[in-house]
Amino acid sequence: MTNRRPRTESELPEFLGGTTEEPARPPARPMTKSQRHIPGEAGLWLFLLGDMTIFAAIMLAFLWKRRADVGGFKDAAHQLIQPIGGVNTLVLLLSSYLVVRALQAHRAARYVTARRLVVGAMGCAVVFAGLKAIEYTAEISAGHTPASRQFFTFYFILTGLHLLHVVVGTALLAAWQLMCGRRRAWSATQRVVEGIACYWHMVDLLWVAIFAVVYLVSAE
Amino acid sequence: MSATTPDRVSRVFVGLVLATCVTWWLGSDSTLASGGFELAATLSILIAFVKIFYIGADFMELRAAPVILRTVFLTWVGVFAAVAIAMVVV
Amino acid sequence: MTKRILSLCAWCGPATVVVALIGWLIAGVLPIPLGPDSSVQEVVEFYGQTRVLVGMTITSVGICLVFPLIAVIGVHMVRMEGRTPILTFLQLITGAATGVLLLLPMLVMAVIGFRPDRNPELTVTLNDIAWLLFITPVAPFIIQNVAIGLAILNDKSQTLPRWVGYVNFWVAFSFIPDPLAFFFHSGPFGWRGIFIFWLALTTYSVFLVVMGVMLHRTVKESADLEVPPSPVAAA
Repeated sequence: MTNRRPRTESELPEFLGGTTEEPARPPARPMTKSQRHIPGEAGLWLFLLGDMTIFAAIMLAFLWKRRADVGGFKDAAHQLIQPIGGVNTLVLLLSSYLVVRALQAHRAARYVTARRLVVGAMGCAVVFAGLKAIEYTAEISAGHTPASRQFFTFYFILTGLHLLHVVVGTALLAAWQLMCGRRRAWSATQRVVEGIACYWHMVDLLWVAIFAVVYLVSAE
Repeated sequence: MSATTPDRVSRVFVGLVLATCVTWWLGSDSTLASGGFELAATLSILIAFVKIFYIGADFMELRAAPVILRTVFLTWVGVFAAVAIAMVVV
Repeated sequence: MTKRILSLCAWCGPATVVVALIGWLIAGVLPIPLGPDSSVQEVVEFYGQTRVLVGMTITSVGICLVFPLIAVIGVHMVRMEGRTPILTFLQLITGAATGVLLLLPMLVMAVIGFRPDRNPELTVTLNDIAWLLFITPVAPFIIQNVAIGLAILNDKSQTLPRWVGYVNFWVAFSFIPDPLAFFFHSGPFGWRGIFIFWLALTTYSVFLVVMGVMLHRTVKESADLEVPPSPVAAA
């Protein structure tokens, strides 16, 4: 909804002559249990589905290119260290589980528990990144780079883009645990916290897809 | 649809871990008897998308979301899975 | 009067898309542009056509319609932020940069067409420069979109609907693969690739149209533009 009243001093920026005090905030609307609830908010899902679609398109392009060279892709896929991929899948699943628990704790105003759980999820993210670093180092020292063959181009780009998401997600988790530390109430933070949680679950589910398509299907 | 209770979340998590182990085994060097790789590949993709569905339904709490959002998510996942399987098998 | 100007600036968003696309169609850059894997022969032949000069002139003018849109975005971001409009400044600066980064490659392409009988190596080099300058400098674009998204989501008075903020984040994300164009001479990650040129073209057009339409609507609905701001009280 747009503001219809004329701009008052407190709303003008300082350099246009406005005041420096915080304007009064409207009270938050209370949630009714009977409403079906969109996790986060509607607009967030535009972003999540849009993001997922771009990843999906790259994965489908990968599967398309694979058709022209099934044997080659299979050989290349066998060069990947599958156990690292598998463990990473489990690590991210664990982190998602911790995030769900953290969300439930934050809702119930158990701020200390929530914070610990979020930090736990961040720990999982660090483990994931560490394993990825080991994996990348191993691949590159074995001579497999994004330029060596098409399989590895897609592998590095898909997992690289995903890793970027993990980094952004970890920063968001860090912001969330700060909110828990400040004991920000649910009514004030619900949208943001659910948004952060859903973003993290998206990071998890993207990896589930990448693991299936790049590590497993190609190697079969 | 039942809401996502803490109990349910734990069960879903265990299910996801088991599903991961199953697909991992499928992708390892043991191929199934006849129709070997295609069956394994199809199963891997299917299981992956079942996992994604449950992450959406219970972790992202889409069970409590309006029908249209659940439908969009489910359709998105279903279409992608179908196209992926088609690309591998056809 | 101000309202009319704001409205016009908002319409410049979709107008950029229309005029630029028309120019590219005339030039022959669309539907299939030259790629990093095009042969020297193909490149030289392409720029030998007069249509290239005509089309690129149109596009180079049309693409600058992005500047008015950036300005009207800025006006609304000031309202969203209030006392310290840092994101507003960020959008203005990076937005201005994006306009220039879009304009220059179009001019380079016109320059190539200006003297099509030059040494083919020069033609290919200039073509590389034009395309890589066009596709790869994503940072100003990403910063601009993230700034807009953050301002919208932090806005207490909901000047623009929140979903517009999320669309801006998605657009920013879609630009991330573009620097890969430096590393690939063919395929989906080359400058002509589907995840580089086509994805960025689509999402940037979405950005221009969404911002233009939604800002126009906001301008139309806001009643207070003709009322002068209340005078600042004497200290």
